[in-house]
Amino acid sequence: MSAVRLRGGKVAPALLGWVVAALLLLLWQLYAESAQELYLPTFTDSAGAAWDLLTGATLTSDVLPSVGRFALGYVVGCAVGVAVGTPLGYLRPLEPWVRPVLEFLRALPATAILPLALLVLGANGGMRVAVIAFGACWPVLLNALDGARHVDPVLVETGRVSGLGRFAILRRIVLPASLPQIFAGLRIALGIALIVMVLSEMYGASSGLGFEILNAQRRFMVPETYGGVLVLGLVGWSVSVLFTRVERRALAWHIGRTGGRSGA
Amino acid sequence: MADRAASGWAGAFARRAPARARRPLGPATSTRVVRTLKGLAGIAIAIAIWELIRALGVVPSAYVPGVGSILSAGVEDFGSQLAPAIGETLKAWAVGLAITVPAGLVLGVAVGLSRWADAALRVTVEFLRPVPSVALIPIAVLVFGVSLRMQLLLIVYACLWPVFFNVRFAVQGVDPLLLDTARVAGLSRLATIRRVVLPSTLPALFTGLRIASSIALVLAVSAELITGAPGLGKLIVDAQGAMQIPLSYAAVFVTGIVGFLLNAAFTALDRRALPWTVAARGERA
Repeated sequence: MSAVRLRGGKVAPALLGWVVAALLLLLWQLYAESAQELYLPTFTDSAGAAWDLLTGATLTSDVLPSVGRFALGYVVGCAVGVAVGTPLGYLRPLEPWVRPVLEFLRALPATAILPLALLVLGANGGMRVAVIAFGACWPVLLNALDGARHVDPVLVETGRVSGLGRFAILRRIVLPASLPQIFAGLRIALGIALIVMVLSEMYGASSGLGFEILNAQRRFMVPETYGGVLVLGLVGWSVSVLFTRVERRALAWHIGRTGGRSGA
Repeated sequence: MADRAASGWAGAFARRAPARARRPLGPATSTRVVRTLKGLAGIAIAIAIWELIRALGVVPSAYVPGVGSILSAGVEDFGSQLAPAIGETLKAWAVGLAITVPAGLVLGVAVGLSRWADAALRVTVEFLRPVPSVALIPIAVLVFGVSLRMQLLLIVYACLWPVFFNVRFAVQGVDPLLLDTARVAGLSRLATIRRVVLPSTLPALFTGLRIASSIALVLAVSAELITGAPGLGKLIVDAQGAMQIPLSYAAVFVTGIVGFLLNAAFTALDRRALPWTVAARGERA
């Protein structure tokens, strides 16, 4: 940021953000205590329920399996997306053949296939991982495709002149050069995978974070419902922070070249 | 987010765009026809693969009906089942966006212009945004019951972020020279916002709108799926439960087609409304 922005100091604005957040939580607490609304538990009750969820038996029966399925589905979906999308973009003549089908699959809300996946694959963890991977795959695939299509032709020609084979060009030139666009797709896929993870556990499931939240609501265990949402927020926040770190590291060369405009 | 990363490709597009504009109409049109034909052939191949998988017996064929029976179920029940479901889903989608977009725009401009508003909301936003929107389905049901308002709460929560972030980022990126010029010209703060800031943020607003549109569809369908609010999501579940498998598949495909058409419509609208920016931003985000 500019010098003018820095003059006010960085500490005061950062502090202000925390103060506002704390005030909002306090407001929630006080309002919930005084209003005694059936559907609004206090913040402390909700946080307590979240703590129980994270420290009780549910940690190994619900929380960790959920995160595991999310991670596995996300990684598989992204790997497929990169592995298929990059060559498709590099082999330019193929693109018009596959574009409409791929755009359709990306536009299809992945959660909509859950009932049919349940039918075909059964109500098990593998099905949920498959649907998460399905949802994560398309934005990565299309971004990898577009990234590979727009790699500077000079780079590719240089590789060819240097005697690199097709696969070597793909792996050592096209893939690294499309990384910024691939990471944009990976970021979108992260949010989608999380949504699909939660919803897949709300549909025909008997464990997992999504199941716990829905189950708590159906039994009118209101603080537990809010607690589950808090835990999911924590999970979402953690993977987002982790992603930003990985992205910074992977795209360090790119951020340096573009003055840090395209990272984070 | 995607936009910022995509801007690295702006150079490639900027170089290509004028060449395209200069190309005579004839070949361009025939190129488009060939493209469309190839796309249709691709769809035909995808259908053939679907039928091949069925024929090979990899999946239980009772649970994966043929394209023919899906199509006939879709045509047969279009008026009685699919069309009303599309209407219900689109109603939630449209009302949700109609609430979210102005709200996101106002918030984005305010936070983009005021350093203090930005600092005050930063931590809260950082913690609210990662909460997966569908996790709020049970809370929305607790508060509003199974109703349109329940769906709207979810859609507004999920779609506010792309609109807000795109607008805020664009407002913070407005050329300071333009703002100084406005000040020197004696424009009031409101006039500056209306005549300088808002026009510069339009492209970002359109991008945010397009992303929000697809998220709104996901939320509408997901909420219907879990809570049984009327719409495409409920139809998919109900048809599956009643063992009307082809209809269930037809509803899934219709959901995809709705998403595809909405996306295409927003892309076209974007190009028509803001043709001067499309080349500079790259074609997708």
